Amino acid sequence: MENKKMTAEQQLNIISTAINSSHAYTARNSGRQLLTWGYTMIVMLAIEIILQILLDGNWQYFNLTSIPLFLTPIFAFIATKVIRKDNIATANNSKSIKTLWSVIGIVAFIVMLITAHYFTFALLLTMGVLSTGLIMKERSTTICGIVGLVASSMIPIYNFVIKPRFAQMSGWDVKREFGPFTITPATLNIINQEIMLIIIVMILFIVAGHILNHKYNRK
Amino acid sequence: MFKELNPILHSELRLAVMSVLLSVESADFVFLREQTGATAGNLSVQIDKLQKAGYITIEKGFKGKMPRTTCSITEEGVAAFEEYVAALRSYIGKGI
Repeated sequence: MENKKMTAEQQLNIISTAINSSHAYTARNSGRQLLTWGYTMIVMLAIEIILQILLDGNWQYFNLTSIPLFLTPIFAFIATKVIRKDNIATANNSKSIKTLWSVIGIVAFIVMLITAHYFTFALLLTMGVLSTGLIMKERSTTICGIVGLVASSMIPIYNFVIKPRFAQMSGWDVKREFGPFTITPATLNIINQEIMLIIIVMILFIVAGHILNHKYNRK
Repeated sequence: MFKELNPILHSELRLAVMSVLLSVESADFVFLREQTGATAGNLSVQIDKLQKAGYITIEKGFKGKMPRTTCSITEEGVAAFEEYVAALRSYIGKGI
């Protein structure tokens, strides 16, 4: 860039181009964060489902099957360090978003540790993504948060409507066979909720992250 | 009467640097160079001028063994930038 005479329009053009370009960089970083945490959570939930199936009926291992989800923050941090490009610019709202997710993360951890309440956990994640979208002023992220909120209603609908009705049908209260595995109703109940959680995480993190990346890579 | 344009900001590179720093909390020297397309030497001179004017702060540190320079816009810088943009708009309004 050499110093040369510029019209007012040219200068305003320089300003808007620079601002848009910086915004695109920080938004892509946010997209990467969403994807890292989203995929890590999905992998951990999938591991939990596999452990549930393999250790079904062995209640002494019940706590073991819950461990993967609690390890998500550790693996997500490691993945972030490995995947993330050198962070050479931080967004203006990054502190607010980091604080938000720190609080949500701690509360979600405690909720799952004490109550294993999937619906509350899903709502906390939804709150995080929705708030992030509003802070970043990214419509796509906000919409993903709203869709995630609607999708979270799957869990109470399953618990209070589908499961009781299915329980009245014959066969619900006995072990069911899935290939070589036999699964108790209690385990199947947990697996179903974890599958729903995977769907919710895909909407909140994976879809939102890919939309952000695609939008700003295109620009 | 036309508003006088701030001579510190009336430079393509310094204006670009200020625009970038306005939209981020802080930015590395490498980021500024990528965003502005300037040479390292020219960029260094211009951010020095901005720092002397009190519009940006510069922090020099290390990331591992590599030196790292991080820049942030100051409140004074934001005010000067906003005033500059308002002045530009007044020029456009008057068809210049």
